[in-house]
Amino acid sequence: MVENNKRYRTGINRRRVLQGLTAAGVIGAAGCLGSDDEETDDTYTVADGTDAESMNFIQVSDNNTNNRLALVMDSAYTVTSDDQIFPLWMDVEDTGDAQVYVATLRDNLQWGGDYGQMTASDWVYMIQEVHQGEGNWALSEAAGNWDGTHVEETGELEFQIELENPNADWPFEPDLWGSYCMPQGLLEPYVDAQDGEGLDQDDEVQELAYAGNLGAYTFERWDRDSEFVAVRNDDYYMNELDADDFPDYISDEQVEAWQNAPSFTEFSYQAIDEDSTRMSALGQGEIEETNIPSTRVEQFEGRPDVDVMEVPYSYLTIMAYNQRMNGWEELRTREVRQALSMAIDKVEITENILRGYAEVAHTFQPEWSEWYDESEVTQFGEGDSYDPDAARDLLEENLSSGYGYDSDGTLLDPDGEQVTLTMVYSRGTETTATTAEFMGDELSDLGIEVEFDSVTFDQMIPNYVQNSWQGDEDDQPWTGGPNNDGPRDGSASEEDWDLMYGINFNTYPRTPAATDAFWTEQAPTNYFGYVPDADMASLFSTVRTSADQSERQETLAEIFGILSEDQPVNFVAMGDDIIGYQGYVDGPEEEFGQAWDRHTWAFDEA
Amino acid sequence: MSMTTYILRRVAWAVVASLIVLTLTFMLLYFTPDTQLAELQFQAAQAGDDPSEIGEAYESYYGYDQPIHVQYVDFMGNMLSLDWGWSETRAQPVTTAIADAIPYSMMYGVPSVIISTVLGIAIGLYSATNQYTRSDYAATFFAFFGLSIPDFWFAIILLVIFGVMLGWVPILFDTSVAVFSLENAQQLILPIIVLTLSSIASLMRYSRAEALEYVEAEFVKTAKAKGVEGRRILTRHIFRPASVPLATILVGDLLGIILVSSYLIEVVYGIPGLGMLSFRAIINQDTPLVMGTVLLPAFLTIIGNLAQDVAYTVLDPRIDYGDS
Repeated sequence: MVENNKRYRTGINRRRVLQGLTAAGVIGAAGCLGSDDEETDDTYTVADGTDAESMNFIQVSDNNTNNRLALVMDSAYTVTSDDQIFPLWMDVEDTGDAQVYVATLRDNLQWGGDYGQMTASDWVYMIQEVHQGEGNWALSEAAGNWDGTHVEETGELEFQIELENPNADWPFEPDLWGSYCMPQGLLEPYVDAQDGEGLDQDDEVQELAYAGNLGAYTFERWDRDSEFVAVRNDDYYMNELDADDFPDYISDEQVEAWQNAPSFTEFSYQAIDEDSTRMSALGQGEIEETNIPSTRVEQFEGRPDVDVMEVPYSYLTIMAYNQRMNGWEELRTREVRQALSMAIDKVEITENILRGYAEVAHTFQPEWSEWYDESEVTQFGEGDSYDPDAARDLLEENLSSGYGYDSDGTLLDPDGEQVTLTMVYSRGTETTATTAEFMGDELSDLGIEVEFDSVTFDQMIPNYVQNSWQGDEDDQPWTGGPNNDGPRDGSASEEDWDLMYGINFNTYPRTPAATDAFWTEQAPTNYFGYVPDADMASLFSTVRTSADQSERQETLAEIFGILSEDQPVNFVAMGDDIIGYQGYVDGPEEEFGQAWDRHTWAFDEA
Repeated sequence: MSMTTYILRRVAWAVVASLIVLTLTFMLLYFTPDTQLAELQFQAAQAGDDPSEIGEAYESYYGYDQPIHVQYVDFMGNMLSLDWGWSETRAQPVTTAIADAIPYSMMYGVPSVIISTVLGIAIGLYSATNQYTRSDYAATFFAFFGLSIPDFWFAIILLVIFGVMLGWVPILFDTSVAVFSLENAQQLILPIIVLTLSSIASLMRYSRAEALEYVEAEFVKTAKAKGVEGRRILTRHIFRPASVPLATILVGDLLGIILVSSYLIEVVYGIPGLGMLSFRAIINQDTPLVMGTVLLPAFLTIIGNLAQDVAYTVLDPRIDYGDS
């Protein structure tokens, strides 16, 4: 009899492997395998375009690595799609001033091997000796997160985190949220020797041998560039919890699901480079889940066996205006930037090029964010605010003297030559190239010629994004790092450019104060040389330090209003994650952060 | 000069060539801008962290803050001791990554080489001895089809037809099945067909062209006049002299075709072999792995050419060892 949560599949499991092992002998006698012998299987398989890079979370924190790690280890805590903190290994509480937080660990967490119980001591040691270690010897990716933070053990299962400045968003920042830990006993020899490479190459680290009962699955194998396989962990600590151990907002049904999690006996991630192969695998039912490029969604539309979900995504696609010394100098004028943004039809981009799987953006925050205030936002490039004629007038009024239109509608510079801008875009996806070319066409309606430079993303960063101070070192008033190496009059990238498309930025809808990394003059990501008229640094400081929710709300609305008005970049579109699931997968929702409860997903009983 | 001295000289040249390849590789790596560092700093900036600090930590961690001669000595020492470094994108030693990948490439590469060598030469010889007949034209068409059709496209088309439409082969490559199993054969059949088709074509054309030189040769005519059996003429009088230049193709062109095709075939079929390993190493800017996957074919070519030089002397007794 088939169990309720199982599905008939012709996929790959141990039985099939064993079949394979004996096949050579069997086929000689029998002629073939029993191909109609379909078997039951509750393996969940996800296909990614690329594999994880490492299981050493200290150095790597990309999505692929995190997804695989999350099978074998839960993390400190997670955040639900309703923005509630859901304790996994620990709960975290504000002591009242948004500056000191207390983390309390569960009492049934066991490391693997001989490392015993997970205690506060493990966490404090990890943070102090690794993330805050001297010279960042372990190349901790989270070192910046813990810079200036004081951590102290206050009990066997409790530790305290004191921030440098108050920050009400802190639980939603990636310092502790989603963070992992290693046992002190495993770390000690490497800490003593300051041996980051040794730690990285330790088999226990790469095979997650220390994971114990800390995750829903147990690591089974990782065939690099191919498959990561984990099997159900029968000792999973969540299975031991009582209903009282769960937050009040969790329903009885959800509690039961967690207590019985996971419902799959095996979970695997497959790395498949080629889009068409991945799509075929989804269509043929060989995998349960994969991301679908917008250009390929059509092949699944109307299919009852595959659910295509449009999941809100926090990344925004921008077209940057280079306001530095090696960009078109007129881009420093706000109205000129507004005119260019006004001449580009964003609806055309989202509806036709991105096939409707994106939303028009006007500022650095998605419309579904609680911090987005439409009344403060000035629109460009949608509906009435898409107006090439008005854009042309706006340009004429605000360009420096010497610029003007000739009788053919060509925009001429003071030398009488047509204004020609260079747009650099990242090579790789079809939609990026199409969008860049479309925007170039739109600007040609303003009498501007656009030339294109198509480069790989990894070349774009060092050659176009990073900039360096061009004058004497002694004259450099400040530096925001390699992406903003001083005031825009004195710092330039190696290659000249005017417009740039193909970089997506996280809008941090849960921790909007973190967007100060982009929008102040000295911000480390302000590679385009934006100099706001408003005192953005002060506004962001208010958002970071205020505990008054309404004050933060108002200030953020003001910030995002200023950005929409200033157009330091053209906020083009908020893309969606398009994910295809087999129709029998029960659990995923079309919500931001929908995978927080992945371990409770199941196959439909029907 | 004896054959032993000749071989020793060739081996010595192979060592010198390897050292030159290694030194050039080091210089290229040293002077190539580190895009991985740039991306790391860009990510740090977006997260509001100090990109300069992460830059310093990165250089110190990998020893890039050491003088060039120290880095060069380390590099050569590691290369010679077969410590080819640690792949940061696979979290394993480069030598392990290569050793893991080789069997997957061999699974379809070896059958393909055998089939294409036997069939390619056989059909080429047949074409040469049956020049301008229908079967020769058919073989020529087949050869040009194989040479002209893009492997990448052909591989996808075969997958769509036999995997998606007919369901005869799995779409995903499964690394967990046994090597000698029906399931493995099933998932390898399409890669073997694609690779064989692209390599058989050139072999067929080469062997036809080489064989044609001897079809009308005086000694072949003499053999025919003496009443020697057709098959014996083909194998002893035509194939043997033709096989000397063909050996060059086997080592050089065949190796090239297989290495290049393996990139495309493994990416399409998801086979975690050398081609995929190298492709991903380049895409991910995994420097030690790029180096390893570049050096391996370079060494194979050096060894292959060495073997080829030795093979000449065995196949063709007219070749001497250049003792003048």
